[in-house]
Amino acid sequence: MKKFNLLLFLFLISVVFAQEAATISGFVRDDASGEPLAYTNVFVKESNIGSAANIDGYYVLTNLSAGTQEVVASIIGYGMETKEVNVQAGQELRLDFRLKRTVLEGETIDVFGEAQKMRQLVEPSRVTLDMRTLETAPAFVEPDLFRTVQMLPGVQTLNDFSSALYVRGSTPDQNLIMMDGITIYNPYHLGGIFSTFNTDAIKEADFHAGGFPARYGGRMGAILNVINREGNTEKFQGSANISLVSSKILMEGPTPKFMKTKGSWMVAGRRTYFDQIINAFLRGSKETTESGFKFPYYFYDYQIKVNLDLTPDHRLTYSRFYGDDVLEINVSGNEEDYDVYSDYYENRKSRFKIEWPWGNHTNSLTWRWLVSPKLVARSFIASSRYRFHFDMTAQEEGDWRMGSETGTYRDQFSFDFFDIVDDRTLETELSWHGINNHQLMGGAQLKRVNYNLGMEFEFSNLDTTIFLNPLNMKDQTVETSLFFQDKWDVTSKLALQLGGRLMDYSLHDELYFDPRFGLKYLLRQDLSLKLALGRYHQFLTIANPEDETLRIIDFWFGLPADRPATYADHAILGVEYLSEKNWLFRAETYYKHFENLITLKQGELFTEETDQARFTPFNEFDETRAYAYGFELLFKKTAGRIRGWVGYTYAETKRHIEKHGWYYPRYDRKHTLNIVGDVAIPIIKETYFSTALQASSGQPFTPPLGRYEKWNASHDAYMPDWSGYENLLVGRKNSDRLSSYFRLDIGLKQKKQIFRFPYERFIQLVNVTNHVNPLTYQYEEKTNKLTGETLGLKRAAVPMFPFFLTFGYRIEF
Amino acid sequence: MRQFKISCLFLLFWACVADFSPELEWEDVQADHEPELNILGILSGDSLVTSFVRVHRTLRVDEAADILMRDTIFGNVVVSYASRFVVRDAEVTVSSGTKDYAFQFMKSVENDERGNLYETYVYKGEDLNPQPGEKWTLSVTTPGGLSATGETMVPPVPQLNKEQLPDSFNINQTMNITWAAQPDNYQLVNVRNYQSYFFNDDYDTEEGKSYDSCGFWQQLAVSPGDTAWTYRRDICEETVSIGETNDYETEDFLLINLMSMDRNYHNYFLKYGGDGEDEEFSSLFLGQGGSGRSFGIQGGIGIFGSIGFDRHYLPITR
Repeated sequence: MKKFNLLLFLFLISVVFAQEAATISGFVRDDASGEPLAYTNVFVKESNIGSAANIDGYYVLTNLSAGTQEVVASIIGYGMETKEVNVQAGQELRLDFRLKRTVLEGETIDVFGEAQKMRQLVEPSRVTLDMRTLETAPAFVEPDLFRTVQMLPGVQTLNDFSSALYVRGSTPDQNLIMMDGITIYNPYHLGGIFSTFNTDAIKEADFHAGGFPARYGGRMGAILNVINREGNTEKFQGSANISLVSSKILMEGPTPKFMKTKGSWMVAGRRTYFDQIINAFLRGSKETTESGFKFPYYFYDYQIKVNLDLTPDHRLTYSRFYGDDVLEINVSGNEEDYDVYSDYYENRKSRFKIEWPWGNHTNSLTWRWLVSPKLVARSFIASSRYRFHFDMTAQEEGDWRMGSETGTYRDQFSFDFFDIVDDRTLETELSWHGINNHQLMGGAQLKRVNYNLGMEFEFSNLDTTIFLNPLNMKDQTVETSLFFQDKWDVTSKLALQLGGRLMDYSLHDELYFDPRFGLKYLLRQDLSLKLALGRYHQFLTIANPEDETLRIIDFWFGLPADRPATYADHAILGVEYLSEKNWLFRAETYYKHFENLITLKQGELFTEETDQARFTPFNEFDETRAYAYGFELLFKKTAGRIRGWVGYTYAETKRHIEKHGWYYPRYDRKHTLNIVGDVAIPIIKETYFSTALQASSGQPFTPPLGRYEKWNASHDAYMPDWSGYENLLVGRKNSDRLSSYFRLDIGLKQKKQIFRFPYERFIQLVNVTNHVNPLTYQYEEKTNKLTGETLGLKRAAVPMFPFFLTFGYRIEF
Repeated sequence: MRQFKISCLFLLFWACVADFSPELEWEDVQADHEPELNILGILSGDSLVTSFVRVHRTLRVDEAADILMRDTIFGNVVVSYASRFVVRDAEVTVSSGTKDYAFQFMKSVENDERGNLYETYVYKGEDLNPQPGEKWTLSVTTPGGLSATGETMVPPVPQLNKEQLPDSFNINQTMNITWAAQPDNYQLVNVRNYQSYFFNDDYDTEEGKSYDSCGFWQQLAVSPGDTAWTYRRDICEETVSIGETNDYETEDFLLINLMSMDRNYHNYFLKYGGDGEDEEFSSLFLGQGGSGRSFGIQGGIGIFGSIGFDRHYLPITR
């Protein structure tokens, strides 16, 4: 009781003082572009009052005494700015900063203020990547966000052909991938070789490997929130980029000034060009012109972002992303036949067509309202539509003549396979700094998702049409969430982040509560200890086979009513040290376990209902559970002539299905070492050498052991029958390992100017040592050529990327 | 700058002329697998179904499935292949707990109506009579040192409620088939018409059209405790006969077979096999495979199970 009274007294005192104390708040921006500068340290000189700007560049200083104050904004890579202001008691003053970039000759900078982040952020396992970091590592053909994230500790890869993220035992469907807050359901191009994010348009990407706070929910694994650039508020500028795969363009600039509004816009687009080049060559060929053949594949994406400050306190942001992969095949032919003996003549036209687009279309509108200096409201409405639609048609038609008889015919077969996920989200979030040492945040989210998975066949001729619809799964789910979190600076050394997320899933009768706990203790100003605990529920999953080596598309669906919600528990403990020279050292250990997972049964595809065959590949699942634990080291240098990081992970993940028992999934790798570096070459001006080394333990696979006869029973009304058929004998699932993985990539980049426009040219070598990294094994029987007798089995590794070279150019205007 | 340009040109040239596609390096598959016994043992309490044990073994990757055999018969060299899977010199003993029954290896078995008892072990005596509720064991040893044991609990004898069945079955009739419940065991009901074994079963109902009799063939997996099934012949396919209609009529019977089984049998053949099959392993290069399940077998793989039957037949009327 006494403690309660004391707390109440302190609370009342703080409220009283709050009424007397002044508040200074505002935005910190880059002077040249107007982009917000997150994590800028803003403090009052000769006092202990300070704050770090948030992701929008917004800061709040509270509890200021009346009088003259010197307010300082400072972040590495920019010149410090000091402003003297005179505040009255109880005044709420708006004070914005525009900082000028300072770049030392021969040095690169990381503008993220690692020191501020270390002091401000409670949650561990968080890494922020900016465009410079994305360009640090030699890229595979072109810089790619996911391929850079794959080189962080705790992140595993499946193979070279996939940019999907397996984070601390979680599969890609368990990660929440967002662009400007919008969920992206299939963030890949080219079957997973690239991510769907155009790095030129990215301002930063916030990656939480686990233990993320209550404001994020709906996923069990990791969070990757990609924030696009806002656009230059001061002047028009742009860049163009060409690599071996695609060409890109980005343009940005201020919005036209209208009725005192201010704003900016950014448009970025990317498209592959191979199809255009090859088709130009093919147009000259008679055969291809007649058949209509074209190079069948291309991908494109474009993004638009418009920010409009209606007033200093109201900002509207519109964000759009459209990206598609398109496979189109359209060939036709014309043939004539004549048989002299039977006087049979036929004129035949055939056509074969495949149209297969798949991709994401998203739109969002965000309204940010500074209700007061201490209260910020953010409301958001978004739609995200992912679809793939495979449409194949084969048609043959013609006419015939035989003697005096004539006739015509037409046969057509078409096959349609589609999966559409339509996500509509309405969200609102409030951040309040009204209580000393507390940063309160709360909000609500309503997410309605329509799933439509179907398959249709149609056979038709001149007389008859047969239509089959063997797969037709439609569902609508609604997730409603409320969250609350409080970042509490208990003392100058100890900070706690307490929160919870309450969720309702429309197909289930119960409510779900996800508690979240975070702790940070500053052992010294440069050394902190962090802890995170939490539960994470998820209500959707994918029905892709677990063992697929190459994944082109994802089959999303919501958990049905009869399936319990899947969830994972995270426990993370870490220590961080940041040296004076901005060398970051982080060690973390984690444990996760997963419950109520489901794994698609990879067996019977057809079932019979009454007298009709139905193709229902997604209705049979194995109950699955899993656990993952590991230890990670990260050593990162963020400024200076040399930048990059060294990451090491020791990890183990296991899954359990009744028929297999506990086994290692394909993405489990015990040891992983990543070394990424970027160095300015001292003897050649504006030239940078970059390298990325990846080494890891081999992936699990199921080894063949021999052969055996599988017994089969034929049950008959008269007499049963038993027989055996030869079957491959394999070891326990994933009980053996492929050989270990090693790949060294290097790159050279040079910055120049042409007609006063800065441009870059780069050349990159992938897998310099041409190491054979096995994707899987290919098997062949060894047989005696004379007798045909089996002598054994031989295997060869199917290789991933061999050595190859890529190059490209980038120009700014 | 000059060094940069020269380096890039060299790299471009090297990348263009060199063949960097790694050649496939083949290696022999070494598998750390010692062959083990693969048993199919069925104990039957039914007089029409002979109890038997098939003793096979697994093969290593470097072992061929067949052995080339050359025999001289009447002065002629005859070449044949014998299965390497089959173990022909095992000692097979089935025991009721009070008595042991030695099974002998037979190349083929007389009076084997279905011809499925070849290269198998059977008991030649007349006193093998497993009773419901009894626990029977199996012991298999080979001169090569392989051994396995097994255990099965004989299920209750299934009982069709024959008195509740009609005297005959009309092709358009709906019929309730019931049986005595077995609360701890799965059962299987099979229904088929006799003439289908001779492909002699057209059922014309309209001139110019004939209906396949496949609708008679039906099977029902019975969960423990279930006791009834409403049976009706399905029309599977309609085919149009061009030419004369077939008005041939042959006496036909509807065969109803109720089979009880122990848990080993159910798990091996129904839960993890047959229509419920779920292949453990599938690969583009190797095809499908499994780790070799065992139910009722220790020290090896396979199944040692027991079954029982009850049968009934009804004349079919049109």
